[in-house]
Amino acid sequence: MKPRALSERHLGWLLCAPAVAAMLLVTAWPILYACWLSLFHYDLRFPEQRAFVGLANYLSVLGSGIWWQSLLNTLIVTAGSVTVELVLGLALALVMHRAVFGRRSVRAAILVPYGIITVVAALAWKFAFDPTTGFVNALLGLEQPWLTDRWSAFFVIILTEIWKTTPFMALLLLAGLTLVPGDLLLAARVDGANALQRFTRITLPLMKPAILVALLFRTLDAFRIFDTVYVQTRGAHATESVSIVGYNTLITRLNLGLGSAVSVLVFMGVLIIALVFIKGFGVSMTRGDEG
Amino acid sequence: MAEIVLEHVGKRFPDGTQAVTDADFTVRNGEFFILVGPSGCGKSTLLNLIVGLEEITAGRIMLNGRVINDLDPRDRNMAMVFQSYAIYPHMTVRENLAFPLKLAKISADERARRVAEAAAVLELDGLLDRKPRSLSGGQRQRVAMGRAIVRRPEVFLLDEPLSNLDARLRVQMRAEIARLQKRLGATMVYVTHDQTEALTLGDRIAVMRAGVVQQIGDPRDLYQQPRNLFVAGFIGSPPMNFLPAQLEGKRLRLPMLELELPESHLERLRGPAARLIAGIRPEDFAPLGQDEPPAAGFPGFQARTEVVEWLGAEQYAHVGIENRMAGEFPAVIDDGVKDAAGSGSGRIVVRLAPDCRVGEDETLALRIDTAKLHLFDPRTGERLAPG
Amino acid sequence: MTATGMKQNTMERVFLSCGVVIVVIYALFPVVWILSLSLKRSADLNDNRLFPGTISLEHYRAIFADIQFPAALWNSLGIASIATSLAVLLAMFAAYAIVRLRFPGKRWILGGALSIAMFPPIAIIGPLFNVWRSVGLFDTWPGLILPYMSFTLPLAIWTLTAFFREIPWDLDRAARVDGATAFQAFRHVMAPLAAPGVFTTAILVFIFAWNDFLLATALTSTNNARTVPAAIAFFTGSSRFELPTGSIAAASVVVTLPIVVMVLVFQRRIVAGLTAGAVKG
Repeated sequence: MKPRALSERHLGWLLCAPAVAAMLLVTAWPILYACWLSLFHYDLRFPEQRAFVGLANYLSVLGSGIWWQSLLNTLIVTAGSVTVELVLGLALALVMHRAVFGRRSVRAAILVPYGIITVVAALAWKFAFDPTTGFVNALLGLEQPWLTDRWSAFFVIILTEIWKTTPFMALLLLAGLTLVPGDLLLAARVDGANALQRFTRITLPLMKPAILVALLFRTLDAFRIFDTVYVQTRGAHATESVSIVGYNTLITRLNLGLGSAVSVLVFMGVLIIALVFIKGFGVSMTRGDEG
Repeated sequence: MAEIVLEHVGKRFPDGTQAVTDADFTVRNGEFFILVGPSGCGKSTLLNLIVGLEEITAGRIMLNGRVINDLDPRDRNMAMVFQSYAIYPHMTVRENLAFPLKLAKISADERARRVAEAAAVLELDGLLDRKPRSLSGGQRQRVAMGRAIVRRPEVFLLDEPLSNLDARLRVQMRAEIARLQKRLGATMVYVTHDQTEALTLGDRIAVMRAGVVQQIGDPRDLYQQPRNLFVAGFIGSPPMNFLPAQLEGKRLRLPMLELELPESHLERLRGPAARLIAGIRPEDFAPLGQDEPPAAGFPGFQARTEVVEWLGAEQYAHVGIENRMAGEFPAVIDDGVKDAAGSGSGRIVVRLAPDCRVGEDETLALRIDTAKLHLFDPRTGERLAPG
Repeated sequence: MTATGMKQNTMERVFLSCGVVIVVIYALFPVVWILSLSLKRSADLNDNRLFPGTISLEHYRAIFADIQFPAALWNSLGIASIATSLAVLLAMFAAYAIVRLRFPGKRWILGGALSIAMFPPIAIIGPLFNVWRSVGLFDTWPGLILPYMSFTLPLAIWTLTAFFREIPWDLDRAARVDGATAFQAFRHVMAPLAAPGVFTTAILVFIFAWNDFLLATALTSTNNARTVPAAIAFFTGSSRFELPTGSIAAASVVVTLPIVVMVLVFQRRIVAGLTAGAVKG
């Protein structure tokens, strides 16, 4: 091979190296370290008592009611928010796609939830539902202690998540929507299909890849939920998510061993979800690149 | 003065693809030289080798006697017009035209002069302050040409500059380019896949296929004396008709008739009985008059018209002929001698006078001009006759 | 006529216009609510009304009187900006290589970046917490800049790759034939064309870094490096008995309004960036 060709390969690797190194450094290495830590009994309050305990931490976590409850909570929040977001996001995408008047206003408006800090959004909704300062109870004439009761707290949490991330979902779906060739819909119309039929038989199937990608990202995001739950309930009243459990164990109780076990389990949960989507639903992750 | 010499030039890509093999020819000073061939034949790669955007892996390229293999494109004093025009979208037309001059550090006055000159030649005067996105295809094409002209290079290289234009504009711009080349007296190397452009524009043409130059010659040479099946089938529209043929001594058997071969054809033909491919161009058929006896050298046959195309100044009939041979018809070649044995249809295209009224599904009596019959070796594709 | 060329009847147009109005209300509602909270007098905070009866700026004064909030603002600004610059820089090189050069492993890099985007941060705060404490990066700017940079790289790489793919690279070849050196081609042709994409990517990355809460909470403890999201969540009121609602609301407004303005001004770019990454991939 001539020198110039070789250097194209080398140049390619060289240019990618810093980015790859940075990404690996902060993910690959720590996760391995976490796996390592999880095999130890390691409480930072009593660092001298550090000892190798094998899989004892995992057994402890998996035998703990708190873990399973938090897993359930996380799944409830995930399922609740993702399904509603999908429907709302689709509706929003359709509005953005077809609206002529106010297109710019809509586009600008939906970016606000995207740009707002999650913590701020969570606080805003927390205050709205707060029995003392909020207006919801007053408006609806209720006495509901929203955030101190498990299921109503879920409602608020899910509502906040939906509010914040539906726009992003809508944008992803909008991108998929624009890929549906207008010609196909015109042809279908000539063939006699009404609007609903055109939507369900042509648009939706053609959007399937985009929908799956959007679902994958949002499901993973929802599974990792932390900010909203922390701010609104701190995980109290049996509303903990798995990330909250991890945080509490690691940072609040300084138990690195147990906390790392929780972290690793959360990581595996994410992996499983990703695999289910990629293998099970055939989400196409690689898009054509010339090698 | 710009003469380009290619000596056994080859290009092999890192992944092993041999894009160009042993290209060896000279582009003379002031010549309009065409590289023509189907997609993927290596003509664009060859152009890139000449301008220096790709590196040569074999052979040498010389400009006016100087080897330029290792020269950067900017040092070769050549201008290129890309198929996509490649005009800078963030600059106005004026800035586009002036860009190469700025890079060459030419003074502002001189720049302005040359830009005005090029704009006048290409009728871009009113568009100088517009941005490319507001221009039509034809206008953008002229901006691309203008950017090449201002540099006053020794060589112009054009990579399918007309393929993105609509048919009418293409014909118009073809003439413009021809006029421009004569006016500037520049050496031009022009790449196209359209054989019509090649024939109308070129002083000399190189036909390429799969990285190998098949034949170089002026338009007449290529048309009348094609070196092989590929060139014969590629040049000329509608393409040459190919028929299986059986040579027995001095007689040639074709699917619809038998004929006696003239001496001019027999020089290179060997062997008592040989399987060949015969090629006849549509214009080398003629209708046989009612009571006309076939003349020697103009054997006749019957054919059934299937589709008739009347174009005003010309008329073509697609006719079916009877096949008295046990063989199959060669397909219209664009890809390989092997196809010569393959599945063509028993149809040929003949040219008729435009005022000859002929309908579909009629029987025509036709005769062929034996002297214009080409014979090809089915294995190598090489033309064997006329000698 | 819409983009698909289909005619809209009046019914549909009314429906869509209503939709637009609803969407705008939906999006801006919490912002308006927080704004209203921040402008209510302390005494009125419990009046359960949507809009303030009387307007008061006391909360704004309060948050700037204490060092906690301004310090957090400064930390957020600095950390997010630096992390963004680094991420965009590294991503630019990688994206250029991926789009322009031929080399094996491209798909792995893009796929790997995607995996990082799916990563749960909770999985790494343990190790980071421990290591940062030993090497002295706990509660420091670099302590946050490094993980932010890494976590935003996937977004930056995917977005920049999508943008760079849109640039006709023929222009680079044309410039070289026109007589430009590699640097001149870059400066006069490629850089101006790449600039909008880089700018948009920077915006997206900045929003991402600005927003983080988990890492900020886990890896900081004082005003040295505590960023706005972490600070707001831990706001204490002026007395132990008073809810810090007003201060929190005021701080939230201060932190949100610039984002709202930025989003309004650059909305076309941002949407292009988000959808480019999704569509062209």
